[in-house]
Amino acid sequence: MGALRSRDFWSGAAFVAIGAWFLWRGQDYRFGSAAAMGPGYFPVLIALVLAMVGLIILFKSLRSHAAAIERPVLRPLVFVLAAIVVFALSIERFGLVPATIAAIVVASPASREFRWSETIALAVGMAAFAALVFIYALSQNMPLARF
Amino acid sequence: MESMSALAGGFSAAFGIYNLLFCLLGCLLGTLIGVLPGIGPLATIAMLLPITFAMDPLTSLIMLAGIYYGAQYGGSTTAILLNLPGETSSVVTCLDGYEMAKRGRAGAALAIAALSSFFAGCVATLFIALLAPSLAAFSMQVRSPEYVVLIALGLVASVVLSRGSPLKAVAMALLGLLLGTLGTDVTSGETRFVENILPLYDGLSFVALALGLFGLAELLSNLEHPEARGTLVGRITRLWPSLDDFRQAWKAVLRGTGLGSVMGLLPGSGAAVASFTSYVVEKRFAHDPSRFGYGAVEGVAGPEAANNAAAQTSFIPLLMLGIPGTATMALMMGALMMQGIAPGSAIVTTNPTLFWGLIASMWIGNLMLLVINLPMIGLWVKMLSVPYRILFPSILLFSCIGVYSLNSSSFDVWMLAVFAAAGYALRKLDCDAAPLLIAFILGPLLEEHLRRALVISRGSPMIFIERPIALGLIICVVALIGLIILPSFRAKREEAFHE
Amino acid sequence: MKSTLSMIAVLAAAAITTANVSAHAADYPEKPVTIIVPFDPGAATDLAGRIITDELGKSLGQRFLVENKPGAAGAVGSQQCAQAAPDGYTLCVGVLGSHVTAAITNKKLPYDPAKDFTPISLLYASTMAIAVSTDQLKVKDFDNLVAYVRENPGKVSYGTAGVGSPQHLFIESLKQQHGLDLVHVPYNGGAQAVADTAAGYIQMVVASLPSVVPQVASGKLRIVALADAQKNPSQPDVALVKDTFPGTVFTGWAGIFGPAGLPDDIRDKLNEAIGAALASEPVRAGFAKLDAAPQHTTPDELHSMIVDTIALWKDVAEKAGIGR
Repeated sequence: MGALRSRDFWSGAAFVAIGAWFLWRGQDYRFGSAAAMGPGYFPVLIALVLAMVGLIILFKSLRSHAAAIERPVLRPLVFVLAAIVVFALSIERFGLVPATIAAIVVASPASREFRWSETIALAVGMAAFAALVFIYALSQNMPLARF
Repeated sequence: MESMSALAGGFSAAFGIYNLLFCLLGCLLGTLIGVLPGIGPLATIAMLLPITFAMDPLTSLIMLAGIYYGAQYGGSTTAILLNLPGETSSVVTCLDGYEMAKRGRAGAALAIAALSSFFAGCVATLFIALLAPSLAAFSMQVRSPEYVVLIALGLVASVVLSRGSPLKAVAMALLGLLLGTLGTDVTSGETRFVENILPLYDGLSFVALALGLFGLAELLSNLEHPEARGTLVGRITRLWPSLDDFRQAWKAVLRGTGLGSVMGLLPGSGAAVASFTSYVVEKRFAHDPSRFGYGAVEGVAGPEAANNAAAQTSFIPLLMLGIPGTATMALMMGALMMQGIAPGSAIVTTNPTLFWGLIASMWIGNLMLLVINLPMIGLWVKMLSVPYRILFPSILLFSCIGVYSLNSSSFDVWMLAVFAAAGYALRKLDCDAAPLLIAFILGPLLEEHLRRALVISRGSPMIFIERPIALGLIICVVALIGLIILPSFRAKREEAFHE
Repeated sequence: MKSTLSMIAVLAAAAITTANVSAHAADYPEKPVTIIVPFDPGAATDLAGRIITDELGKSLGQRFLVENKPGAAGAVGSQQCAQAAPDGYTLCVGVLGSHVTAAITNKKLPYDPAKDFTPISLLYASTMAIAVSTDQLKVKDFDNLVAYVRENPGKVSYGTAGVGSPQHLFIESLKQQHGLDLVHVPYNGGAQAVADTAAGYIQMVVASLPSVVPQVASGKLRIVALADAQKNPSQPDVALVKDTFPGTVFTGWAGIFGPAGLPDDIRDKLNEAIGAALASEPVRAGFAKLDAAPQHTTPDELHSMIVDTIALWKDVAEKAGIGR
């Protein structure tokens, strides 16, 4: 069915799912009344409306010929996300210089025009630049390098 | 007029060699920080604070203020070139600014942004000089009920300014409101939806959200479609705006300046809502609103003027009322108090040199920033032609560093990864992230002010109608919504008519 | 010969062992020490923290670095300190909010302020002020205020820095003990509460003294009482809360802590150095600008302060329904 590949169908479905989750978890909090709203009031109401809007989008997608979702290209996504994760893991444990080098090395293969020589040069150059700008010039709160 | 002679005195103080030097230093530093994604003026001002204790109060204030509004100029640069919003106010600049860049008009966009900001800065400074006491009094009248209406306006604006399907824009705004509820609820003190994850007690990181949904999603899109970048780099025709651009933009600049000057007086939400509102107003008043979202120069000129005007006038509540609207302002207040100066309405009489000297230096600072930023346009545009395989890891790196350094939190960097993935998904689903981001910022504020207004009025909703400014704002909002919806009704009726 | 050799060996062994044991505190610190400040740079606690760490660094001969780790009103940084190795190279600044009220209002707090830390010394005490809007309330002093509140139950709103904040618990304890009917209006931080009171939107605010002084100068606020134990020299005419309600004292404070299990000798060495620093000119001058009254205590005194205050307010919180 064409509809199952459509962007609107999945957007609608996502909105319904997210709205439903917040609606469910929002029950944990006191609702209150319009004059004295509790912490649950706002989230539950908004979640309800979101789910309803999601349903409308979903049903509209079934009736009309909405565009299909473009095929995701995995290569850039995987390398970019991996690079961010590598940075998150290494910044505190190892410091700015190693984290920078690691992040650049892991991110670079995301581009199809990736070349090792350029990557290494960039990684080292960026590490020096970042250390200069962030730690020396801006006195940011992060370790330079620790092993 | 008394203020004019005091202002003249302020200028002579501001032109002192040390003050000029530190003004330049502040502006340079501010521009640098503004350009670096994620890092904001807050951390830098905090680091420099101890140094300022040894300096003359006026000099230190001049430098810190220079950093603050310098960052506004710098933030627009990355918003236009890379779709990376560094601050709340640069989010709107991304919309049409980046689109202009994609069409090879990065130079024009940057120039318009700088010129609009300069104009707005000058006018706002004049505004302050003439009206400081009344502005302060006005600022005092605006409390929670007024904020509720103002923020509601901002939320409506966020849906209107979105490209594409209005229904999806509404859904994205609602989603943004929901994400904003994560964290500690001010009015009840309870934490919502975050269990025991301490770093989430203060809510999701705005910078991680903005960089992930806007900047990194764009980055991923460029990696998937390398051809699309070709127009950005290949078609750079001229670095300067055309005569047409100026003609289209000047009214936007005027309106934006007016909006921003007034809204900057409202501590906190004022400056943010100013740029969104300006965008929406421009879209409404344009001859051809369909250009918006695809590189309309008014969409850059108006909001840039608005946010720079707001950046200037936001010093009024700080200096004249001792009310810091944002964390950065609170820092500056701390700096003042460490110097033994108590902000408050007395400051104009007890410390005229300080007050007027600062105002004068804001004008000088704006001039310096224009002089710094305009020639750099050529440099920035050249930077865009660096091969993407080298550019994108650098952008990614600076985003990570920026996000980390805000709270020294690696948790926030993890969040960046999550939001980058989410931003990617949203693009695939053709959902516009702008309403989400704006609603994320405004939602918690709306809820806080609404519930507080009701606590204080002991549950009576009449409070919104009893207070004159609130009532006035409601009328404006209704009028604005009417103005926006009415034409589209008419258009729909005409469509049906033609069929 | 054998016995002489063995005697020398025994003596040498003894010398080496005792040398190692005392080398602990004698050589400390041998490398830079990190002090975690669980607040944003530029906050009052951060500024005070930097002043004292500068001085400590000078007297102990090593760099004392401030690391800001804001979040969850001080809980994020405090947790990191509690989890650090107890070798004396990671310490933290703790305040009333992070080390007392957090435990009361958050039942799921991932650290126990009484057990997971080694208290080293108090740093300073800060004054809390009760101020009213001159527009809204014409009361001249605290007694008048109390009388007014008793005559107008439920009419007076007071603002604080948030639900479960020390100011909130303090006023709630007054409400419960003395039958005052006040309506709480929580804000995200003291500055906004002060602003709304100055504008006359709410009638009363409880906040740190420095945050209300500018508004007093401009005539919008009047300080009706201070919650200190003795008169504050910068506000000699203002009454104390304990004049009306004997025994009621409330001050903000900050102290230095290490993770639990910190060796006693390192702790005592730090305590001594802090005492000296608190008496030094730069610290006295710097603290004075922040309205921080330097106060040196023993580790045990700090510990009892925490335990006693938690016990004092636990019931208040339960009766008021604060805490999850």
